[in-house]
Amino acid sequence: MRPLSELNDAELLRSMREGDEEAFGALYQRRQAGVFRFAWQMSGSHALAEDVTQEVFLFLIRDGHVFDAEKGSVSAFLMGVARNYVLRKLRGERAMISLGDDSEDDFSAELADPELSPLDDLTRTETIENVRKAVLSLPEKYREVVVLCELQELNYKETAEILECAIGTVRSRLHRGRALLLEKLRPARPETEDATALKSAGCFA
Amino acid sequence: MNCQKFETVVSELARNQMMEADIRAEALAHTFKCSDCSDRMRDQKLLSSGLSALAADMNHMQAPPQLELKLREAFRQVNQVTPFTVKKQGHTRYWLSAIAAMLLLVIGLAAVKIKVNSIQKQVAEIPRQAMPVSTFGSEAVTPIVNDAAAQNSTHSIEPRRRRHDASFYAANTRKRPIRNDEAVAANHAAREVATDFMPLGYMNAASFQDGGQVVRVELPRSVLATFGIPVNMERYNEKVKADVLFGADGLAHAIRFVQ
Repeated sequence: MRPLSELNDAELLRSMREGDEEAFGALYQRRQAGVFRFAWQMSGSHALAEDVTQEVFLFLIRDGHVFDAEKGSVSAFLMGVARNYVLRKLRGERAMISLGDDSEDDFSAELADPELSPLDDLTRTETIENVRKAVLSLPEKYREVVVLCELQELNYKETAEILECAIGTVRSRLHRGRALLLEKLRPARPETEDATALKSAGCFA
Repeated sequence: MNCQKFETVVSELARNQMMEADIRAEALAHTFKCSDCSDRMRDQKLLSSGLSALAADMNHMQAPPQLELKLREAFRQVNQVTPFTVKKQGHTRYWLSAIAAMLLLVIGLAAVKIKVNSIQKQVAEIPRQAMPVSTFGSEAVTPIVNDAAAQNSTHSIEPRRRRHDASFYAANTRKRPIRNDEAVAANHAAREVATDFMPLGYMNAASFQDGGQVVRVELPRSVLATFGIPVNMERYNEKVKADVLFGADGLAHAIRFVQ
């Protein structure tokens, strides 16, 4: 018999459904971090991420038979379940996360240093927190794409499987999400609309 | 490439995504011509590095260890409960089915035994009634009926009361060797089921003092109704066998139906 570490996710899931606890343990060890991080990155809440991780794997224990290998990987399946739980919880417990204009103003103000553009120093530890807040402030449909593509480093296809949408949709949402992030992170520039328009006009020349 | 076109590819360019080499070269060339697009490109790259830093920062995060213990416990419960429930239900159903089957078997056997006993009783009585009729039907015999009639003061002849008089029957049968046709007739009689003799009008024992005769006849089935015996209407047109007891006076005194 092959060791569990050599089995792929689908094989582990099959063994798990046959009652092999060690197979479940191996699958959990392999996938729990991704699920937990996704939930945390989407919600910004450790407690919620823990709850979601628990519910995702409980779902796998009880309803693992609904997994269809033809529709995607076990990883995508777990992330899709996690996404559903996260969105459900976020919609139910929206008060836990401070989203909206207030939070946006807060971290934009921190970034708005006239001497040092925050975008020049994004790798600094303190600005990581600002990026995290900016990500959390994105609308859900952009946030999940940014989290999956940028933070989970999944490709468009995997992301499309999780979100159950077209690859083109993923691409366009990511583009829009990044643009929104830049807007949130960029400090207020003393440019007038006319000056911006002139610059753009120059580009079209 | 213009700024609009550049805008559509800048994020993928900053993320080092795969794209056509021509488009990539044009976009990079555009950043040298347009300072705004160059700034955009720089911002996008900084954003990518910021997101990468955030991803790296969160890379160590994972669910607390106690969660695995909880989930393993849940896994054990689910995998213990399910087979146990199934097993229990399976056993319960199995035993219930087995008990039901045993009960049915016992009831069936009891019913068969009762039926066999009743048939055996009837069969045990029939030879005493039917054998003389079959074997000696054409002879002038001293039938059991005759003897019974002599013993009873009642009008109905009850051959069953002759059971205790087996010695008489045995003596009679012992006197003569049993022929093959007699044996066949006896076997046939043993398979027959007959009603009790029913009197045909007034009858007294004196009628049989000079002997009697039993004659096998076939009658229309509708005759059964005359004697209050239920008639199967589907076999209404069929004949029914009957033994008619004639006295020495030549009159029919009793009848019984044979099946």
